[in-house]
Amino acid sequence: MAKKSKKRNKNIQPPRIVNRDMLDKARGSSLLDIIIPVFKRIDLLKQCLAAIPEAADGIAYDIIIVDNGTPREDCEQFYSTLDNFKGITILRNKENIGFPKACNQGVKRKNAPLILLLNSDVILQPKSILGMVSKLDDPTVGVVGLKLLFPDNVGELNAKIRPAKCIQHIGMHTDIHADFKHIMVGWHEDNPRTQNWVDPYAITGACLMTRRSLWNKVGGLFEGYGHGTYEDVDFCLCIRELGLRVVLEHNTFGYHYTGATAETYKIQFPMIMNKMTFMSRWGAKLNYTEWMAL
Amino acid sequence: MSKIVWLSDTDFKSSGYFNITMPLCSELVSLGHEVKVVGFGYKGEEHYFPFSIIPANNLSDSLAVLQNLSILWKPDIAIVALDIWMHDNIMRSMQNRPFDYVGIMPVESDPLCLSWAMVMMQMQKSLVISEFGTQEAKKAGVTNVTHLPVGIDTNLWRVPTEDERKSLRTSFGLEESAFVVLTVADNQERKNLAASMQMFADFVYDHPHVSDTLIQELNLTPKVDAKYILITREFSMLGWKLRELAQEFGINNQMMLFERGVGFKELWSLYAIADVFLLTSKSEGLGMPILESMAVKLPTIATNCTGMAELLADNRGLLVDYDYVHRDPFGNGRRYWADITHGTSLLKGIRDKSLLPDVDAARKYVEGRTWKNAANVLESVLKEIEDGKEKQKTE
Repeated sequence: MAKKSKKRNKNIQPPRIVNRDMLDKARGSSLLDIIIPVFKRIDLLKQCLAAIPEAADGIAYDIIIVDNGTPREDCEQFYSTLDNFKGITILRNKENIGFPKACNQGVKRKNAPLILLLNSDVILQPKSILGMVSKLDDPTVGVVGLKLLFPDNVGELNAKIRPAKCIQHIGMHTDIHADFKHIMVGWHEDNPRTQNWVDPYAITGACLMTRRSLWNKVGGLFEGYGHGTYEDVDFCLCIRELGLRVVLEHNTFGYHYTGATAETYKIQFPMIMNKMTFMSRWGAKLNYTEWMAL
Repeated sequence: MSKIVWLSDTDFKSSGYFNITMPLCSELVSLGHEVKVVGFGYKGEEHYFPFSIIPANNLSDSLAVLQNLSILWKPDIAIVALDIWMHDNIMRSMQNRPFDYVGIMPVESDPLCLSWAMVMMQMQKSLVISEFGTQEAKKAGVTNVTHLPVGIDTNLWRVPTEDERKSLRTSFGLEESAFVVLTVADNQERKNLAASMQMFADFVYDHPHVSDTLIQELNLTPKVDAKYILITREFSMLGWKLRELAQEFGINNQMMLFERGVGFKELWSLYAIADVFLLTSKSEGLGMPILESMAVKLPTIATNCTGMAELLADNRGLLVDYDYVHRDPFGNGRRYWADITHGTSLLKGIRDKSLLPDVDAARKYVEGRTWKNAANVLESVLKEIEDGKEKQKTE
């Protein structure tokens, strides 16, 4: 009898459900790699790191800090205190290589099945990582974001554009001009209108979790965006093209200072150039979505 | 129950259409309909209304959103609350629209020109916000027109107590003896703010046709301790240079100018501290500020024409005669110019209490114009359209 030829299924297989306990016990390795690009603002990085254990609530993780050229005098002392911590790796770049490249660099360093990109000015709240990981138990989900609020006290940052404990991020959608916008920024968290939890079109790279298998498939963040902006939306659209969902974990949340480094050090991003790059990649495929979420 | 897309001007800094859209859409939701509002001028401000408001910067964005919704959400009906000429633009752009079209609009002057009447005739139903406007539409041959009696929330717009009035006047730095005239109107030609300001100046100086020149020549001094509160859009491209006009009329020291978009509490407070409300528009589709004034039992003076005459009839307010009428390019409508002398005499009459409108009757009239009533009219229109479609199917 002739052997049946096994045709390779060239379609992407839905990822297996990740059983956290099984993985932790059997492999003794981390479930999650947390990549934190940093440029100065070590004060915020300290807060960010301090919040992670409670946010993870038992999930095994490694942290990869990718330092983008922070002057040694600003960070050496703090980094030296991290040397004795198992599970924290620090990659030092001589200059600021930008957010997309730094993330790609950090992801390559380790091998956990799940990846979390985390801005250094995001302070995760208890069980938020657990909540995001749980969302990825659903094999139809490719990317998970997190509800983010402005913190209570933003120090010397402009408080007028960061209303305390109000919404900073519950997803991004396109307006009638196909421009991506954060919806309901500055709205009160308990406003019933913010509870309409439709899947966002995209989520922010300030707190983005995905599977390494998908990351590798897509090729990570597109480095054509230079220092950054649009790379998170681009990644989400790549995941959507694979037939997977982008979702938001909204039962927990994090505080996000939002642009703390950029505002403190007056860093500008090539928004117009990046928008042109983005539109050349995705312009013909965008849908109008904000009407569903508002 | 229906899926309704509502398109209107929803500028949160306050537009007349905003004041109509929000309560009516809330009532429609409470009646079980699903409502999405396409907000022309809406900038994403936080709100707690039980329906979505989708931003649209301008009319063409609004049309684009409407067209997208017609494909993506498939509404049963579009209710569009805008000026007639905008309805014309919208219906031309969506000639093969897959939903029924109900228009809500003011008819702000008489007569209704034929081309605008024809716009109304193309709708499944047209709803006009004043009885005056409804009659003008019928005179022009529109048969699908109904009066939509829009109102205000009289629980919110309550009558201030004497204590509240006193303490608010103190907080605004007003003496108890000061006579406060209030005008709430946009800074545009039709609102004729120059006439109100002239009337106030003539009232204060007790002299006709007051100007800075006359004040100097005749050494005029104010005869009355009075204030003029004006809530408007100070910097309007086609509006008056209000502070210069105040200077010219010699009322710079008396005028208190507030930019439109004040919060409700502050707005109510300004009505509460006033002694009289004055509106000298050349025509009005209705005049929501007049309803607000009537609701707080503030004596109200307005030009004796169009929607204003309807609201203040039967001594519910005092009507200023007009001394000139002309035909305006906007819809060929008549514009009525308030008689300054007569208006000034009415201000005097209110002050010396020789002329007092029936403010109790005014309040009662406004209480009868509830949003529930207006929503019921709208609901019956929707039902009529639905029944018409059912009848067509069976035939």
